Amino acid sequence: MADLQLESRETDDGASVIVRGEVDMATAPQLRDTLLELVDAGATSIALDCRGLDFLDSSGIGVLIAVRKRLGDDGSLTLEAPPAHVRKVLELTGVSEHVTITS
Amino acid sequence: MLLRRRLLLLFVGIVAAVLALGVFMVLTLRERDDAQQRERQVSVAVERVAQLQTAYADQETGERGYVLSGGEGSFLDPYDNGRAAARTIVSGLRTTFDSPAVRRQIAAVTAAMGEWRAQAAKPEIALTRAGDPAGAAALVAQGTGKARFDAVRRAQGRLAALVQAEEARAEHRLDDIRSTLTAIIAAIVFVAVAGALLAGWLIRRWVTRPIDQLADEVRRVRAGTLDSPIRIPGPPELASLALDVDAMRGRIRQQLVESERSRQAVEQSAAVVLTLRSELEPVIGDIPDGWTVAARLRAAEGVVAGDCYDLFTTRDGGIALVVVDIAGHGATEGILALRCKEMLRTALTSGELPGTALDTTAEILGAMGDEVFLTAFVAVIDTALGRLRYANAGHPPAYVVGADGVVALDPTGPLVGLLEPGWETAEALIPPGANLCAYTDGIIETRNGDNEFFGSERLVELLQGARCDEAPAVVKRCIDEVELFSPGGLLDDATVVVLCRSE
Repeated sequence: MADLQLESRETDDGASVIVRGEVDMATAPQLRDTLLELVDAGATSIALDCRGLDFLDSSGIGVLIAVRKRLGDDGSLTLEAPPAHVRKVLELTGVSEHVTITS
Repeated sequence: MLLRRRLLLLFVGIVAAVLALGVFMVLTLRERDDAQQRERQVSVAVERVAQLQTAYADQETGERGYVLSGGEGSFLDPYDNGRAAARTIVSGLRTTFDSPAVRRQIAAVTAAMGEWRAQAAKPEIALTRAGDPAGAAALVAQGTGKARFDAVRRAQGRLAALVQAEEARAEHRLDDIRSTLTAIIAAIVFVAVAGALLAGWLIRRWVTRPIDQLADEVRRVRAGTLDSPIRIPGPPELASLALDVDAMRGRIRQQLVESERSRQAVEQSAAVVLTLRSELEPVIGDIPDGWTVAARLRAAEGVVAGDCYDLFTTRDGGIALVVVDIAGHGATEGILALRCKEMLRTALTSGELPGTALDTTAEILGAMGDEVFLTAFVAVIDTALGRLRYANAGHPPAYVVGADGVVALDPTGPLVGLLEPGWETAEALIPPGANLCAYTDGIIETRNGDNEFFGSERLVELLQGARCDEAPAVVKRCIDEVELFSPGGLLDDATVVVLCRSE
């Protein structure tokens, strides 16, 4: 089974999380728990370092949208440097309209 | 008793035994020192008794010489010296021995010597000193002196015998003590060796053997024997560990039973599931001449897919094509897919454009859950003109592959369920000799052993290669290639729908 490693640290206005490995049905709960914990701790701006993200399936898409909603209109969810195929999934599904994607 | 306490007692027992023997040895060593000193004293006393004899003989010889020489003064020196020496020796002997028998004999010897001196030596010396050698000789001739001195010798002999007996006793006692010491040292060595052996045996009995037994039991459980309980005789710590392991065994067994029940429940509902699945894979009706359609839904692991598709002819003779992918796969997702399919069919049948049909469906479905959504490709094809009207809700692009190239039918709105709705209807053409292929991400996200994706490039290449085939052949090729690419089996549902227009 694919592994997911998450490494989060606090930043001035929120948190940044280094995401490595694969987000699928098995690991999506891990991503959800980590991100919602940050939201509950008061983070309004979360940046995900996606350089090491190998795969993101529909379970991961669901988590990203749910977290984006929890952050509210004033908050932001940034995906930093996702690989091309992950970026494509985000664009196809329309999620890219609601999160910030940097290259 | 607790293992810790048992080991402590064992250790304390061995140490106490060695300590007790050590104390006994120290006491015995001290006793040996005393006995050695006594033995030395008694040896000295034996010598002194011999010296006493010499001192008495000197007196007798000196006195006789004095009398025979007729008063030669120098002969009295050994007599006087002998007396002084005898006094010193006797007082030394008195301090050495406190035994009444020896003391009585010393008294007897000195008394006999006193009698000799009083009855023989002194009168003879006095007569000689008074110038009466004849009188003195007469006294000597009477034999009193000789008789008295013989008595002295006898008493002296008895004293020597007594003192030698004392010496023998002292030596004997020393020997006894030495044997005792040897025995004690042997006992200490024995206790140490026996203690080590006992400790080893007990540790094996209390610790090693129960652990081995427990390990055997655990191995037995690992091998799948879950029915017999685990009981280990041994100290409470290990017995309680065994109880914990046994509880674990019980839970594993319980879970096995439960999972077996669940499996049976799933088996019993298999009929329902199969019905649901056949609903998800529709029977395709009559298709206008010059067109072929085919589709295949390859479900991941379970029997109900989160994918579904629909193909049907519309009232005006067109073909409607729907591919839906619900995030996740399972019975709930399967039912959701079925609802969605029915709603889209109703909307499209009543003449709504694909984008509008999606709007309607999304509105009716509403919010399905925090993370539940679906993606869909919906198209209506006017078979007379080869015109395609489609809407894509966050779904991987469908492809129109013709002689002139490939057209990707990208999303015309977001996924359904979590984001703001709103889908446009776009148009494309399917020229003669071209194919339309719609699919779900299970096709392109299938991975091989090297973790490579099947990918859209590979799919497009395959479609180009199969362009002149009829739809069923194209579908078969797609599925075959994907299954060949991932021999380990599909992790997600994979659906492919192909529509071909002949030249």
